[in-house]
Amino acid sequence: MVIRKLAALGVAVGALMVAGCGTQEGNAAAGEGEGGVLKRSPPQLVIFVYDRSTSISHHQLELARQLTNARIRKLNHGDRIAAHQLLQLSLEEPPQRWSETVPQRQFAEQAMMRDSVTRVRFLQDAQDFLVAFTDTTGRGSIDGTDILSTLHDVSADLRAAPGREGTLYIFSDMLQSNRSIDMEGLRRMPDAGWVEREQANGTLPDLSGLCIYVVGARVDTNQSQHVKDFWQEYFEVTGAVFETHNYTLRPVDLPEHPCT
Amino acid sequence: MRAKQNEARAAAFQPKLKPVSDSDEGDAVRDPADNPHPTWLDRVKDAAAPEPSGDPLWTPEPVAPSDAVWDPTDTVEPAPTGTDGVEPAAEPFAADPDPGDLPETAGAALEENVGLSVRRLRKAAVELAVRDAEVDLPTTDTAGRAESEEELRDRAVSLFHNWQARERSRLNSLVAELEGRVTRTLGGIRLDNDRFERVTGELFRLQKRWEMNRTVVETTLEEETGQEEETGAATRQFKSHWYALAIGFLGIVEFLANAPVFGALLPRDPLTEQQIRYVAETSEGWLAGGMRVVSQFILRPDAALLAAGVVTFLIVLAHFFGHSVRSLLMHSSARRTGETLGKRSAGEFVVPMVLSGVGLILVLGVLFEARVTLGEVAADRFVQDSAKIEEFRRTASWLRVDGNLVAANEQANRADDLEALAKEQREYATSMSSLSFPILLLNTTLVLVAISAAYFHMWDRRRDRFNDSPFERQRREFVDLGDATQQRVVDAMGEAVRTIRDLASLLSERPLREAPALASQLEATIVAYRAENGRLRGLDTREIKAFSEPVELRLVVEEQDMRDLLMRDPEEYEAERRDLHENFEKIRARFTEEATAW
Repeated sequence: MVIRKLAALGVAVGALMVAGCGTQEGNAAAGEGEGGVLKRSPPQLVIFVYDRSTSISHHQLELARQLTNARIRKLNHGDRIAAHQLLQLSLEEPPQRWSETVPQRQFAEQAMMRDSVTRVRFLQDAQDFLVAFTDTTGRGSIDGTDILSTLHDVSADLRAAPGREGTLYIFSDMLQSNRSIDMEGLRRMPDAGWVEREQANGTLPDLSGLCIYVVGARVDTNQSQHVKDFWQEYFEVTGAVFETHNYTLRPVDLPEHPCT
Repeated sequence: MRAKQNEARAAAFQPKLKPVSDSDEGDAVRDPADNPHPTWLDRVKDAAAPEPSGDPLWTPEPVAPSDAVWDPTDTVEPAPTGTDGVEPAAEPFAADPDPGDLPETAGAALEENVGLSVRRLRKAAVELAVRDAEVDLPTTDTAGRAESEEELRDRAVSLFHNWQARERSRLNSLVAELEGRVTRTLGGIRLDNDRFERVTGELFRLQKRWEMNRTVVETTLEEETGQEEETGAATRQFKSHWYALAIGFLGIVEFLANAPVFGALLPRDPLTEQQIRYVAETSEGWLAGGMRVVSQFILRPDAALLAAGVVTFLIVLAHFFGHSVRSLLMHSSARRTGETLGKRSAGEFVVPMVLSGVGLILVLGVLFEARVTLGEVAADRFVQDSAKIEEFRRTASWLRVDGNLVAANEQANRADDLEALAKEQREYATSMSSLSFPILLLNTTLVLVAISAAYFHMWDRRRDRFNDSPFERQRREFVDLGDATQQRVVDAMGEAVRTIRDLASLLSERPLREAPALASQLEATIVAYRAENGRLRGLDTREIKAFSEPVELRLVVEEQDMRDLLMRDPEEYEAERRDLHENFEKIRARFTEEATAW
């Protein structure tokens, strides 16, 4: 009699344990954790390049800040974020750049509240920190816009983050303006073989796989189309992924994967 | 010996020769210590005397007030009535104002001793003779009795009749008293025989009830014992497996109630806290709660081991305490019932009981003090943690300005973690500190439950059996009562024999046989009057005509059979006593049989 009772008790406890294990879907439906096993996506490298020259209007910088914040909020654990302010004249200038990686999850396979808090806090800090890159004050001392030199720094970021899906968001009118090239009003545009020649000389950065997304560049004039053509040729030569529809003036938001 | 007793009996009716005081006359009962040779009358008086312990069996009739009044014509002064019942001091005979006077009333005569009255009468005769001689009376030629002689004769006759009546009255009283005593004694024996028979009957019925109850109880116990042997169950009120289950559950409850306290008191490790947080966040399903609880103890082994140790102390101490209490009670019970096991003493159980009890109090006190102290410790720690949190946040701010967001985030996380932990610990400590007394009650309750479990888990080597103590106690009461009744009957039987013998002896005697002697003495007083009168007058008594008549007083004893005074014949009393004795012997034999049959 006693053995029967103990056996019945054991069966009941075993059934309870089996039922208590639950399933991931069930747990997610029940609101436990954050849904069980995470759907993993390849890490990204998001690079923001800001043009604070006087040719960029205030509202354009404000738009850049808003779009940046929106895009940053979509970053995930392990994504790397980098920000550059366009050099003014050449690579000899000290760069104003910043890069960090969104903290990884503590456990890659498990969603934890602590990771979420860390991510949110980091992204908020990043947004706050990048405000300086869209600051509309103190731009009087900026003498030029050297996009080509800045892209060398971007290339360095790209190389420092292998295996990531790189996306470059350029908040600029894409008008290179330094001593050798001045695209404003097409005053000193590179000649037609400049890109091939520079490619042959090896003076162009390696932007292989980098998705280019331009915000603030006009495409409604012949001059602007000419400039666009130059950059399209340049990015193609440097290995970047440049698509025409990613060359915009005032987009509503920044697409997370603009090249796919 | 017999002759000596007869002589003593005869002496009791002889006048005393030595002068006695008036106070001696009324001593109807003498102290046996004063008379080393008691006569049969003394023995009868002793038998008729009231028993010292009880109410007097017989008291003399009180003297009528008229008897106590002194009659001036009486020649004898009546005995003074003592106000306090104490006899007055005896007066010497010479001090008597008129010793020759005779008591003329019957009451006064009853108060006098016979010998004294005769002597007084003789003295009165001499005085009358002197008085008559002075006046030369009676004349020699006058025939017929002289006036003084006639008076003496009347007094003598009266004295004789008074003596005779008094003797009869006294004998009647003695006989009545002895008969009453015999009747009461035999009646008491009869009542005691009835009581003795009832006790014997009750003893018999008690034995039957004892046998019936014992049969029922033993049959029931045999059935229960058979069932236990079939099931193989041990004689524990709380079986071992249930005891283990209960103690295990109690230990878990006690552990859960106290382990967090030690976890809060011991130093904390940030990594441990992180791991605990991880487990708390990663646990899923129905067992998530259990996993979170278990992780607290697994990841804090120091606190868990400390709490487990304390709980083990409590359980073990409660176990030994409960077992010791049960053992002590069983030992006490065994001592009462005479089933003492071996040479074990109560001290063997008292010592562990006291030690474990003190241990329990100490452990409960430590737990209570730990919870009380927890509030103070948490307050101090919270102040320290607040400073660290401030430092972390300050560093994070600087790192954030420098763009080192990851490091800033780490610092912020540490600050948040530390703040959350500090607040949690403070709240927990505050609640624990305020709940110290309720948790003390909870711990005490758990300990009491553990003690109770151990108490009932104790192996009981005793076996239930029929309890014949109440019957044995009743049997002893009946036997004691029967023995006391027997003793009373035996004593009363002896008393009855003695009283019946006394009654028979009294009836076999002839107390009035002394009457002729008394008559002769009385006649001698007349002779003394005549002789003294003649001597004083210088005449021969034969010359006086008045003295020529013979002195014979014709004092006749009215003989009566003493048996006429009896209600029943002594033989009937003896026969009744023998019947009662035979009945008593039958009851006694039956009583002895019933009393020794158990």
